[in-house]
Amino acid sequence: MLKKGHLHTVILAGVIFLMSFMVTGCWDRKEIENRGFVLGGAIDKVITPAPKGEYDLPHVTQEAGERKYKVTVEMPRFKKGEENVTGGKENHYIFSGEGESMFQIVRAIGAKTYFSPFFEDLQVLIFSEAVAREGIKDLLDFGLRNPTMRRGVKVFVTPGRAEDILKGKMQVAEINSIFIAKTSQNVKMTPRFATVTSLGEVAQAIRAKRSFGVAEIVMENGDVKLTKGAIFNAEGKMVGELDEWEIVGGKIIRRVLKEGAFSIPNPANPEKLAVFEVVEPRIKVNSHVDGDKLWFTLEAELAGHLGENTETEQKALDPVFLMAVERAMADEFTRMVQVAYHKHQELRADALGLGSLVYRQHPEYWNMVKDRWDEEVFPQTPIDVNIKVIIRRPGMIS
Amino acid sequence: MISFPRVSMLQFFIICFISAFGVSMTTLPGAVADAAKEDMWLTVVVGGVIFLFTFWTATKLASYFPQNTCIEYHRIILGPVLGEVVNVFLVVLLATVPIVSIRSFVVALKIYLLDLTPNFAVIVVLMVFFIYATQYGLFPIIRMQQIIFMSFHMLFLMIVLLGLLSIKTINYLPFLAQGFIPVLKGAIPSWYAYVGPEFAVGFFYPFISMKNQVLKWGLACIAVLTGVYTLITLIVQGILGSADTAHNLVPTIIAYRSVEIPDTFIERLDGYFFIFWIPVFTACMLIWVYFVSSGIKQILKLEYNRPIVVLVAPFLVYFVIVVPNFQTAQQISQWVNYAFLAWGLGILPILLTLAWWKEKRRNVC
Repeated sequence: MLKKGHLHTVILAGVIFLMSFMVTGCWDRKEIENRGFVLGGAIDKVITPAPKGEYDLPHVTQEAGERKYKVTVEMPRFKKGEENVTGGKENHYIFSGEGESMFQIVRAIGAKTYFSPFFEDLQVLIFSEAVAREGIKDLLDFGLRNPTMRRGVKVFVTPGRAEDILKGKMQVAEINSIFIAKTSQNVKMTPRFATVTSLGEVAQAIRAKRSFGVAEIVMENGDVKLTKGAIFNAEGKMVGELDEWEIVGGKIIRRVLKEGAFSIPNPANPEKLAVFEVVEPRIKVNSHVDGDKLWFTLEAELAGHLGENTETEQKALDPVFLMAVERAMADEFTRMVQVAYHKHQELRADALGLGSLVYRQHPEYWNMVKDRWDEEVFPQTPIDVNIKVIIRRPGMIS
Repeated sequence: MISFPRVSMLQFFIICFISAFGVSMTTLPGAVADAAKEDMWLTVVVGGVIFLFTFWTATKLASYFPQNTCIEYHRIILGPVLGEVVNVFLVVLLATVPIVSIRSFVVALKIYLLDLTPNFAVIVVLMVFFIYATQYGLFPIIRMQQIIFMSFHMLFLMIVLLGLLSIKTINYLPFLAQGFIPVLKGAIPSWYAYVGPEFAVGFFYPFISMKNQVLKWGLACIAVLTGVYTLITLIVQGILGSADTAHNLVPTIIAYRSVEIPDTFIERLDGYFFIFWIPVFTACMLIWVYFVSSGIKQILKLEYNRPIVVLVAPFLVYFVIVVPNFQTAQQISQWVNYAFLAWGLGILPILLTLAWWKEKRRNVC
């Protein structure tokens, strides 16, 4: 017969023995080389369905749905042992599948490789313009339903084929998706680049039934650039584009302009340039309701430095000159704001978040107009813009 | 005559906190977002304030019977038959908490961490741990809870705070745009998140050293709980917005998966969230399994609850597994929530009134 103390030791040993079998996580063991880390995804329309021969490799057989989309994924090619990846071989794998259900296409891609697609590290999701114009709302369901997908995934639109962005050869020996994701972190330094939107932000806009913007990306000669902004309506369909000036104006209205350099013809000599660097923007946007009448006001004070003056004979500390630069710069910002605002009104898509502003500031009024906001109310609503530019210092020389 | 060591006030505070803070913080923002929209955080505050009343009721009731547990004074107040009926109802109600919570926890764990591990493995491991931990009575459990609270809960709360890095303040307005009614409606599903301290009073009151301090420490605990839940709800609302929060099954986890701190050793927060959630959840369930076994022990008038835990554990495992899917578990937890609401705002005040009336009559006689 065991003594009480011994019995406890035996029980403890038994529990530790049992737990060592059950909690070691062997069920979930998966070697890293067998994981297909999907870093980028591209969604295009199927242009010409491949001839339906005996082996139609891209085609994903689905019980329902058409052969509508081509999904391309980029995965890193891990080097084995001493193998040098940069020496000749591509540093990524590209796999594609064609069908309508994103889930089934991804599963079919998984069946083509021994490393199954794993989305935890997905960096970018790129839609071709053709797909975006048809609507991305339905396509995002897979991304939001899939537990491995993260809401921080950066969403882009490209005017051409989205797969070309993933397949193209970059100047830098980096996996394309990672290069794009890292590069897009610098967009705040260049105000003309569209703000990068995440999957979560798109989902939030779609749930709240409001319009939104997504950055457009193009690739040429191994370079990528976020050129324009794609505007989507509340249905999740792309309805238009913003050029680089409209993007700046839009950023001021959305109060996301943080920094950037802007040039104007030098007031003293229009053939030369005066460049102003914004460093301290203070922007206030408000909505006002008087009965049935709604209008917005934008008050901004953009403080910064004189970054460059190519008229070298000019005395930069001359108050008349500085005031002239400030006035001209303020006019330029006002123009960009007005252009951006009217473009959104033309597109009947309030991707500027002004509807949300009305909701926050005048919820009762919003309840009356929310169902006809994009189509009727927003396009008729005026905005009063008052921008002041302040040059804090002229740089290191006078 | 009670001859056990005493529960200190800090230990009581910790037990109250741990018993409530387990699984519901992952679903709480979703439950309140649907009803209260941008005022979802306010709903959580209102839920906490209403719960203060329940805790006051439970403490006042226990103070009439300083040497008895709730199972014992139910018999004294309601008589042996009706008292036993209430006790059986209470034990069944208490048992539903680990059943529903473990099921929800296992589903979340399976989705985000152990995708290929069978549910059964996780559930059995938890139960084996509960059986072992409850073998030595109440005080080793309390000691363990103290260690877990000071280590894992504190780190978990720090991880929770890091969520502030990803919030967007525009998600908090407008304030009270729909009036106060939706806020009150939202307080109903938030109730489940607070349940626990009223039973801690019921079961542990006879062992507490400074009984006159119970109300003060308990209310402080509920205030802290309310603060933590409000913070979590505010963070989730700030990250996802109210519409998206209402749309997600486990919004807290989804929100914390969105928090990234690039170029630091932390990088992503969700891994840490899960790692520290496991001991936090386990500590919480341990208290509930102890409540159940202690309740059965006292109904059967046994001296020890050790064999009870061993016998109850397989039933709990069975009922956790028998729930066919997540949506059924959610539905059951909704009904369990209503039952706890009825207990806290209906049965407890009735019991208190009866106890007060009996005491008054006794004094008159």
